[in-house]
Amino acid sequence: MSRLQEADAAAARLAAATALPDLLDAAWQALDLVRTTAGECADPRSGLYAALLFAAAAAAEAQHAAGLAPSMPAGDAAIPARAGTGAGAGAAAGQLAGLAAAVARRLASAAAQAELPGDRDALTAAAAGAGQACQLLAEGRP
Amino acid sequence: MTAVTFGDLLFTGIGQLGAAAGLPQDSGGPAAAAGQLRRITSALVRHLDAVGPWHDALALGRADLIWWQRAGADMSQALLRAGRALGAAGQALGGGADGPGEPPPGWPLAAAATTLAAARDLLSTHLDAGPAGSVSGRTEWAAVITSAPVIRAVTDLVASWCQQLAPLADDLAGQVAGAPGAARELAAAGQWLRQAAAFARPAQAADPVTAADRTLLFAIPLAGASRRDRPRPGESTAALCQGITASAGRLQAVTRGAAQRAAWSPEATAGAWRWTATAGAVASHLSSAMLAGLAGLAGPLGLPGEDLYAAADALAAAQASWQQLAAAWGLITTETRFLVSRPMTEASDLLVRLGRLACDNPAWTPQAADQAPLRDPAGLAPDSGTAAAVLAAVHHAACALERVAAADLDAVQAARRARRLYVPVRVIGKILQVRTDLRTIPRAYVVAQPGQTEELLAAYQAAAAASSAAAQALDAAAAAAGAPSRGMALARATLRREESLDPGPPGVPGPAPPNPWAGGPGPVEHKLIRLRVTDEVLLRRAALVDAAAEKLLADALSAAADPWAGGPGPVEGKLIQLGVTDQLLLRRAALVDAAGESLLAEALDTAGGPGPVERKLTQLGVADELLLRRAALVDAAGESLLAMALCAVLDAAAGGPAVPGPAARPAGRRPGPPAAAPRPGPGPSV
Repeated sequence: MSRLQEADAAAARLAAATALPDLLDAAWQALDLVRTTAGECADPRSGLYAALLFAAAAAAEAQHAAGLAPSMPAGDAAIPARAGTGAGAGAAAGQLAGLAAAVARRLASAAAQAELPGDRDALTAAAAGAGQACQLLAEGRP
Repeated sequence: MTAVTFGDLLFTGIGQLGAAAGLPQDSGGPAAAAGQLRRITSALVRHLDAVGPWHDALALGRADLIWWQRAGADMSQALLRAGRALGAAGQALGGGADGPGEPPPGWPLAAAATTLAAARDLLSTHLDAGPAGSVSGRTEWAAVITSAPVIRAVTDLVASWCQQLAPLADDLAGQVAGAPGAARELAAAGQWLRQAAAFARPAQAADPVTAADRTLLFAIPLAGASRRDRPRPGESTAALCQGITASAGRLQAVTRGAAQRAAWSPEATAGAWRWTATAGAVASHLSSAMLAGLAGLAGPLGLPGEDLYAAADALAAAQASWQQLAAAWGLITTETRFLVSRPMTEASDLLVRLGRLACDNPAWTPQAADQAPLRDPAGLAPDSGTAAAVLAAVHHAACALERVAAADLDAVQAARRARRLYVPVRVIGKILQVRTDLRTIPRAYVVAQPGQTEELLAAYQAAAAASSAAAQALDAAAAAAGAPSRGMALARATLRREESLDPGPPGVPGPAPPNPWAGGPGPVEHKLIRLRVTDEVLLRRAALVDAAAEKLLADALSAAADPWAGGPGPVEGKLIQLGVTDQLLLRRAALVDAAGESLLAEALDTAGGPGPVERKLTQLGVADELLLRRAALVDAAGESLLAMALCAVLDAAAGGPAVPGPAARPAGRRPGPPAAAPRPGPGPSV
């Protein structure tokens, strides 16, 4: 599976998650994909070098924030072995921006409904990080 | 606005001194002029003191500085005597005992005194005064200030000022011929000033001051925390370059002590370190691109093309290392969530301005929406002046990144030692659980094991090495291009040389420095105590002189083939001849011999001749010229200190001026004037 196909799958998984633990797990995996793919696609010859590198850093922070939510499932994360990115910086940035935006939306919405304060804090922080990654990668002004 | 440098103040002071020459009558009358001259001599002593290694026993008597340290110690004494004579003249002429007070504006002599005092104060902005007179560096420039080139340049400058001031004192003496006491003191002051200048001549001949020494001295900036100036869209190239330079300076300042804070500070987080690594990659990339562009225009702009290409390549390598480092953070984190820290704020300003300088968007930010192609090099640097300014800005940024890489490496190592680095349990293949109050609580994160942080630390070491290589390549390019940052390049080269003289690399324990407090007071400190000196600074300096003497004697003993060549003293020898073997008797005899030796030493002290350390070396049969010179220097430092202490004691007893001036010949050897120098007359205040 290519990285871009993986991004589509991650977005679908995110959309399908209904319970909070499933959503947190899906968001964590999606942010892991944003972090690693943005870092690997960052090429100094591309104009998106700075945006991709800083988006990777923002996604990492969001991932850690989500990982601290009390409702995060305790099992091992199933991170698939990833092939090379195989995509240009521009295409990757667009795809990752969409995925980060979806994560930010779902987490912000879940934060509003979370019962545990720990979950609320973690979801809010993770949503902010994902939103920042999206803002860095979006080509057009919001 | 660029920082004020020592050179700026110096040239102003030189101009004011020039304006004052021959016009002492325009200085508010002879009494006021004498007062201002005294202020200047005081400022000159403080210049010598600022660069003198008085706070560092290991530096005192360093082999490469023998000539200039000796000159500085002797000049300091001569200037103190000149100051005392000027003070006495001022009093004889009806001036206040406490000095001239605040001079009215417009007097060139007073202005020169103020400017020279300010120049000296500029040097001290790089030093922190610790308890009991200890001194530590506040900035990287601190080690430059006490380096060989700066000691040479400052001492030489002070000598030239003394030469310039002596005729002013003579003129004043001529003007007050009707007041014989004052005239005599002013004439003596002129002679001491000439003598001070003459003390530098042997050093000037043996170890001449170079243009690079002076350039380095002039480049020393004021260490002041400039206020943060946020980047604004549409800043000019000049403003961007100045902003980058200022941010780089502040960034270096805020990274100091990062390792000490890393174990506990909530600002020290994995997020901040990762962010900084990312900024390092982007800044290095932008800098590399700009230099490559400038290198393409090297011919028309008169720039060193090869140096610029080499620097661009080194920056590209640094960019790759920083990027690798950002990736190496992976899922490692700290227990504290990401907080914006001061280094991040400064690095952010630096990065945004670098982006606006390099890219064709005056509102550049790292966001994809603000990306723009690189600027046309001809537009970036339309003339050689702008090209040099851009090169200097990139140079400052690279030096700051070098410092950040080294500081973050230390900080991350400290965080690891403090068990502040964690990894998520989700990715390490097992769940660790702890039992608390019969409940089982799964942990989300566990402390990272050494194997999990090895790659990260290796990446930091690589980034630090690559950043250092890039900064050094830029040192070479800036020096070759004559960029405004060439002074910094010189300073960095000096620092590297000084560091190579250290007994061991930082962090690795080298030979223990002599402990000035061990074993009770040494001879110089003892003399100060006998003089009832209680000034902590003077006592500490005395202890350091004693420690330096002790170290020198240890060096000499290890160099001497047979340190006991002298054999037993006369009393012990007689006992041995008599066949006495009783250890107690022999020991008592040795003590009697030692007491006799000490008595002889004191008698020699009074009579003049070599100082105590030099004499001890001679007694040991040491013939090494270098060791003997070092001994003479340590003796001179002790003598200078004693003179200062004696003056302070006498001034305090007389309720005289706060600025010490010699009142009596101190015990020990009188500094021998060079053959070419005129022999000073018997100064009334000596």
